[in-house]
Amino acid sequence: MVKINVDGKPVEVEEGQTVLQAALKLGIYCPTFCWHEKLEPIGACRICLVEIEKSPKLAVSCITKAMEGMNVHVSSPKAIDGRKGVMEMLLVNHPLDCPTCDKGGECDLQDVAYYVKNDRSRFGEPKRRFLTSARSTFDEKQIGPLMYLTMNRCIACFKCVRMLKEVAGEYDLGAFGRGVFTEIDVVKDQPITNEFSGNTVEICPVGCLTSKPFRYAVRTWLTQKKSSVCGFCSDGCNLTLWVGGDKIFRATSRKNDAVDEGWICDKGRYGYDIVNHSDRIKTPLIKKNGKLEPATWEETFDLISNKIKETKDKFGPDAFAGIGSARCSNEDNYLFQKFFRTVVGTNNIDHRVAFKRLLPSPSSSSIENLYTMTNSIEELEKTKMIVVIGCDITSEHPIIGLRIKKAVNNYATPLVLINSKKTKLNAWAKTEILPKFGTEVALINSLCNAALNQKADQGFKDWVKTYSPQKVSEITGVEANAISKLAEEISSAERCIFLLGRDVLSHPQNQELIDAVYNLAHLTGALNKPHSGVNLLWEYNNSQGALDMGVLPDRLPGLTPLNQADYLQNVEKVWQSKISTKPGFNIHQILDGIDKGEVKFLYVMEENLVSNYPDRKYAQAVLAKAAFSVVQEIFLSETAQRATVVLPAASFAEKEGTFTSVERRVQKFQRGVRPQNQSKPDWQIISMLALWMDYENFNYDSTEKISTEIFSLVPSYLGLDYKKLGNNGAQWNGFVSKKEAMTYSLKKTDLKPIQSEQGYPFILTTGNLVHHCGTLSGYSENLNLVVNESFCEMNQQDAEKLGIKTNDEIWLESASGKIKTKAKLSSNLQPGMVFVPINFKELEVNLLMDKDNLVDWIKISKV
Amino acid sequence: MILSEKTQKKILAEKNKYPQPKTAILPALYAVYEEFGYLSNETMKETGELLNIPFLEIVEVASFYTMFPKKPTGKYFLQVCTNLSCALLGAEDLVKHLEEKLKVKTGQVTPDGVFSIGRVECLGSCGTAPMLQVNNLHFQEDLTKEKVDKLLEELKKS
Amino acid sequence: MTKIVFKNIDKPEQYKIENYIKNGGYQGLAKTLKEYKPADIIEMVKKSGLRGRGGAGFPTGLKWGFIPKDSKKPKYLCVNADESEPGTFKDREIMEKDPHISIEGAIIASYAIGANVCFYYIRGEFVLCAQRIQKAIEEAYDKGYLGKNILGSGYNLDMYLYRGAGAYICGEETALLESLEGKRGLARVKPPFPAVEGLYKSPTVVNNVETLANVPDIVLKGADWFLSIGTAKSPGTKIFSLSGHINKPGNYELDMGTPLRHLIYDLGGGIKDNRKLKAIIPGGPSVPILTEEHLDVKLDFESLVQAGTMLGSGGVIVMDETTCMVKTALILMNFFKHESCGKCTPCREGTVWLYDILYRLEHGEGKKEDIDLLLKVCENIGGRTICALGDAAIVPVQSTIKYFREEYIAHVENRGCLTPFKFQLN
Repeated sequence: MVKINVDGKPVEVEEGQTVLQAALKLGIYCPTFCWHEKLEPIGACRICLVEIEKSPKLAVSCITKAMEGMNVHVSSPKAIDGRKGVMEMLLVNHPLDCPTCDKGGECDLQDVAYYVKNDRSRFGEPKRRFLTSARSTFDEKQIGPLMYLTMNRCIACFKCVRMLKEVAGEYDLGAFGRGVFTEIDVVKDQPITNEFSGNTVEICPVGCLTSKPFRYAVRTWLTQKKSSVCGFCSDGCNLTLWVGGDKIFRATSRKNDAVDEGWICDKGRYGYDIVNHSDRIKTPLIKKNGKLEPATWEETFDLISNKIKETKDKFGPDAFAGIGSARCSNEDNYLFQKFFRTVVGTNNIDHRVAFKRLLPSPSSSSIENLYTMTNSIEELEKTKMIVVIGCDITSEHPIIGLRIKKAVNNYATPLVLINSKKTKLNAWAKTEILPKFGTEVALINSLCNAALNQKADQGFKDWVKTYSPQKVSEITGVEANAISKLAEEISSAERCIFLLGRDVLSHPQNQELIDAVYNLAHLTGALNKPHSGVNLLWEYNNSQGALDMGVLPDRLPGLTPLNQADYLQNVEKVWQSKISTKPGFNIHQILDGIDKGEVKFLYVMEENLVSNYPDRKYAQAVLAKAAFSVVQEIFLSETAQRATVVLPAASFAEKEGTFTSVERRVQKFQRGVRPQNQSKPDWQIISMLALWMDYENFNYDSTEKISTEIFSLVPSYLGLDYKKLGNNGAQWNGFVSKKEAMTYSLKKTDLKPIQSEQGYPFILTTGNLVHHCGTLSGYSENLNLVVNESFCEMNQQDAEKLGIKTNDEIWLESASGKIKTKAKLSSNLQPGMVFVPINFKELEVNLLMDKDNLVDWIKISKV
Repeated sequence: MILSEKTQKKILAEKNKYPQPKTAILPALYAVYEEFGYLSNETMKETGELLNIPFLEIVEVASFYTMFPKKPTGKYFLQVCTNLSCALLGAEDLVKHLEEKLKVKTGQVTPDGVFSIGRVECLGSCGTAPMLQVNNLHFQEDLTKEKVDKLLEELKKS
Repeated sequence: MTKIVFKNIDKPEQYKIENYIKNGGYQGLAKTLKEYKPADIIEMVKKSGLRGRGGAGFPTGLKWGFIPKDSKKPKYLCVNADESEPGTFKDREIMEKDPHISIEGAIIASYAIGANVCFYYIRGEFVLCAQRIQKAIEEAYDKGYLGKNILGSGYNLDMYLYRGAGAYICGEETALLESLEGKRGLARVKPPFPAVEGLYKSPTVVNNVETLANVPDIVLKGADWFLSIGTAKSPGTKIFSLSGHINKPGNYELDMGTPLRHLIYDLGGGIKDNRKLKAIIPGGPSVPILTEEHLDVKLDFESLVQAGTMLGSGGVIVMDETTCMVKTALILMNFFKHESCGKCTPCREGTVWLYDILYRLEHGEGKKEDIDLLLKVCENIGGRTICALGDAAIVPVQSTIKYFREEYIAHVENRGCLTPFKFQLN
């Protein structure tokens, strides 16, 4: 530690910290422009000049290291005079067009000019001007689908370019030329579209970079700021929503160092416009004569409650099924399952609609059965090796992707990618392994074979020896010595974090693959070392929460089995109801139940079954058969269109509550705007329905009341305090905290080779695009400005053989169905594989899928 | 590729020569400049591809240095030093003389594409001022009007 | 007068290695590798009092000594041949006529600091220099002065010629390093100094060509010999590049402490056309001007500081009575604004501001207040920039106003310049 004095006040800072950091620690304001706490300081703008005793020149505080005994003056006349001088220089060429500048009211330059209190300029020359065209009025130009550049306002802090290069590793915005004509710009014909571009707008200290959706929409002082959490992917970035009346004007980062470090991706930043979308469901709807007609809440509650009573009387509680949502809050999901378990009396609930082969329900009995992220996002910086398996991290988890880049850049952490296709992160990877799709289990077994040690018993050793590098090399297409080398690297890593993503979760051998990775982690010691472990990355903002809340046919909240007597007793006491211990139907059984006529009543909460179920025809057919179905939704989705009753639900921005992020972080979000039209928060709809049916136990008048119940009942959430969740949220740990001491027994996980299908030579894979998440973001007009067209990515050679070029219209056809889209040639995919994004409702990709075939085989032809 | 095979080879030879790959950018741009006499977006893009360095970074670097024109110049690009030592000995007059002789202004190319005129900062030829430089290659020193006229004649002929 | 750097400069085809060797070349290197440990060389150079000849005059041995001994990172030597200070052309002559002397110096320096890679960074415009240095490097490899196991000593050194591409700022050592790393040549903030974190974040020394050209003789003849030349605090010789209104322009190697008058009148043959001397820039435009009254100042680091200026790069620009001082400042400010890298605010904005005011003054649109405003703007730049370019840019303005304020006032009163440069192209 170093002791220094700033403006006469003593302060201690760590060695290597700067004078500026010391001042900030004391709460002493010192203006900055080019400094940003997460970027390498460059000391360029000079506005943070301070006086240091015994130093002849003023010092630039953002780059001057604090030295023992330094006497620093931020507020001395000399320092103030220095900053005045710099401010005068900064304003020399700045247009001072504040009245018409979009940054007005939140502009650093404006604020610092005000603080510096220099109201005269001695500059009387013509100002430097960048003109975008001879006729331009505002000297501005659009540099990307969502960004504008007004170069004349630039004060050359370079934060935009530095952020993109240092943090995101993106190269679509640069600094060109030199001197006073240094220019920030894109290169010709290459608009800025990287998924972190919006951060440059947010950190721009002036009105040089502005966002298309927000510019000239509103003055910031006419808005209110609401703390929120992103409702798209599961990373759990913290957002600030800027609202006025019932409109959300923009979303910005609300820095949470543990999660996002103040960076958010563009889907989180710009996707808010789904909330105010004109296609939102406006009133409850009841199907009359095959057509959904507007109705009142009273009518619908009457209808639903009568139908529930009627069906329950006639067919019993197991004629009901409920589908919860990985998008809804913990409170929504908690009430949803409570409703089904108490009011209805069934365990027929699930939310895992997109998976053909379901993993066993997570269990808190042992760590490998938790199926969760056992490390935290922050720990990625502390580990010594990162192995990503089956995940296009950049697209699925952009912010985890940033943390990985940081680990690689700042700590030289080796990154290993094991994917069946090349992903954008490969520029950071030390090793990239591309096994053939479906052979991953063999690859991991082979790594285990190479990493064998005394932890394995003879039985396991004998078994795993059959996965020799040579043999597995033939199966996987990965070179034998690459396998041995990787095994050696993982074994010798002091710490190692494994990240398993979407492609593992939806893999035909998902469970074996996860077990195999656990075997490998166990053999290499990663299970018991600090900052090491196996991590499953669930997809959506509250995937983890929906699991935790027990929206599963065989788990009570807290991942507890139905028959765990002591807990059951406790739950029954709190819920004042008997609970069935008979496991209910899972998602597939629910659909089969409807198909067979066993399930008469289906209740879907914010889940687009038709689009997301891996067999569209079946989902459609089943919904048509359902005797009565209620769909609670934001938009009139393909599922809602087929419902008997549609209830307008409020989105994440219109309600408050908690989400549990991918790293088990429970985070509170505030309501941004009032629910649009007649919509209501999901929890409120359920609560009102229950009250309508005279279940007084559902008398919740706020989310806090539900959260408080959760936090006093659900084991892993015990002790959390809704009021004290604060800005950073809190991770539930439970068993995870004891993982270093855990024991693990190796499992034999055999490869089950996938069977090809005659006449259908291509394997269909799906996933999210970097600018979209699920089917919801497709409603965002902002995000659609970046990408709004579906496509089918295919291997270049495959395409050439079929005479297909990029943008050609092609048919994708499986035994189940046929869809038309455009081709996109790529060298990222191995031959025989195609990739189709799931994000566009126009492209009904699950029409190609058959729930009973774990692999979707298709053929391709030119239109 | 627009770049000739020879240039491509030169660029690839620079690629792994230095302790870090980006050091190869300037030498690679020299190779491109030598072939075309200026840097275009297309040639810089190809340079980036060959060096495996983002196109944007190539353009950023190229934009900083004045020796790489971004537009075609005349076949003979005459750059006159107008810094102090040359100015003291008539550099402004030299520019004026060239403009009159070639009937184009500084920064322009003659209609036949043979000459263009530019100004340049001190080229270290102060002891032999005034001077000009042809195509970033040859220094013409101790200039007089007569010498300039002769130079123009010779260049026109070749 | 002693000749160290230029001792063989006019010998025929001295740039060829056989001639260089014939005239005693590479003996300093041989002696170094045979007789001295790296630390001995650093000590010797420290003792010799050799100071950087690029402009700042930092003690060379001290600079070498800053290289951390225990660092596991590779170390680099960069030869700064980005000679771009207006009026300076000494390194150019060394590189064109006697390239090996600088290469020999660079090899000895690399050995002293433990570098196995050396970059010879030449400004892009010096085409002949680059050709000569390239050839010289190849010759040195052939003769075993470069490459693996130099002269059987076990010491390895690779040397790369690297060409800049038109940026004065790249003569600033940190900008030079940025340029070498394939970036835009923006000056870096110091500390960390290059000795700790230089090229590729590794310990690096950047030395001027002339500085290194002194090293072989220091090794051969010893620190005491070197100390015996020049003055006590500025030992050795210095090459001065003489240009402007002078009868015999060119490079002159002088013992430190030689009077300015000797250079201008005895060696330079006096002012052109017998006109009256008006002003002299003694060390490139980054140093304040002198006038006739300073003719007897001695040319060494200390004496020039005493006279209110600096030794700088040794670029001596002579201006006669016909020279307009406002125009001089304007030309130089045009240069500085053109060369400002644009990274830090005061230099980026201030150089243009100063230029604009000077332009108005020169073209008859000046106001009386402008003169003080110029000085105020200078104050607002000086000491507040990342590198010395900002400090240098204000020098021509400050020093011309200091000695020729009345000329500035005349520009205001007469609405422009009454003394346009007389010299015309013949």
